[in-house]
Amino acid sequence: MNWSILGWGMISVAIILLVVFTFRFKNGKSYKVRKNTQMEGLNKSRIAKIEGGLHRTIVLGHQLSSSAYPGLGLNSLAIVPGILDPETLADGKLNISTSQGSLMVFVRQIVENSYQNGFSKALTQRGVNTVLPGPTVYSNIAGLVCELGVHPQHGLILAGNFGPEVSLLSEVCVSKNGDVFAAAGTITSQAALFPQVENLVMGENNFMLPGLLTPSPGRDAGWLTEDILRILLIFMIIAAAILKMVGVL
Amino acid sequence: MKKILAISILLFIGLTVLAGYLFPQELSPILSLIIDWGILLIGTAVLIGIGYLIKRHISLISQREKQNFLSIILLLAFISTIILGLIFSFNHPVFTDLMINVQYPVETSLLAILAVVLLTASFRLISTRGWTPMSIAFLCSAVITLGLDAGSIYLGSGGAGDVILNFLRRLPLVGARGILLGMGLGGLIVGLRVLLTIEKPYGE
Repeated sequence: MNWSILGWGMISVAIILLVVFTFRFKNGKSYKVRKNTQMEGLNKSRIAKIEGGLHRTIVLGHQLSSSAYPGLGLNSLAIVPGILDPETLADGKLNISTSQGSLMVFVRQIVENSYQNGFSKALTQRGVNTVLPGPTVYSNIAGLVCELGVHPQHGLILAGNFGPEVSLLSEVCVSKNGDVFAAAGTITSQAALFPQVENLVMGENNFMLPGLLTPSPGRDAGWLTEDILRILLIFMIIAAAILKMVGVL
Repeated sequence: MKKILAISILLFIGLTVLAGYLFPQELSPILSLIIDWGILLIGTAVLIGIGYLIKRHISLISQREKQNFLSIILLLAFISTIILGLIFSFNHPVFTDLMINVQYPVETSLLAILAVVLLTASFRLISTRGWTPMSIAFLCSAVITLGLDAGSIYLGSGGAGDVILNFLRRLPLVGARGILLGMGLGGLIVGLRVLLTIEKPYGE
């Protein structure tokens, strides 16, 4: 057996589990997910910002896809529909920004679809601004720092693929009495944000966020599949370590 | 009908790319075509993004917002870069000089600010998070890694000292691998959810 076959085995198991659990959860069963205190912080902050008529910004990272962190960009897009409630779509205080054009186009489509689901297909929403402060990592940060500085008590959500430079955004937001929620998936961004941000989601918990915001059978199935695969992986690592110790591998 | 068409295209492209890993020889012509289309679409998306950027700053100038002046600078810089890019090629010395003397120093200065921000944030760690096991572990690992990299921690050569130092050096790698494995699993599940159309991030 080589690594490629092992990888395909994992992918096949994941597909089967996903399909089986999705059908199972569609018939009324559900999977109880672990408590997430950061999510509670985010919900409180969102309510406070909407009621106070304050500005909110979602930053979706710098990349839709990367070889080191595949899926982070897609995951950040999956978070967006959960945040676009009717109040958000109407009050005009939400900005969604990114430094990549493709992410920008997808976000625009999600916003338009969410609006048309609640109102009329003939209307174009003006409540949510999708902005690209800069097309490169640093120009994007520079543009956002400027934006955050102008509107104090900002509600900032960081989700997606970032580098350590993201801590500049959280620093500006916190210094202006804002609230920061971060689901920045890369190790460097997590390490940079850890000393600054209280509501910081780490590791694979990033991938739980879309389901926590808008639960669905498919997302429940995703959590359960991920948990099963994680346990399977742990046992495989332990077994491999034991086999190596006794000289089989 | 529009949604069915989008899902069909997604399934066809996704499954073809996935099958390309199993049958690379047979599917290489179609895979390179799909990748070329992808690059073309991403390039177009960048143009759309830049269009949004320009539109936003023009509207800021017309609304007389606070960052009016910065928007004017941005638009002027954008127009002059486009004109220079059209006159000279990307590899022309004038254009390269501009990049080296304007863009890189600006980015480096941001990096310098970042270093200061990270340092002050580390000092404020306990006031932000309190004395939790995570914050203590973070502080200890930061101090030990700094000491190891600066060569300040020396436990003698050979024997137990070396073993302990090697263990400390490898500890961050072990943690990083753990996080990466979790992220990899999460990425796999998100990708499969999109491929099986359980998740539709391109539009619910």
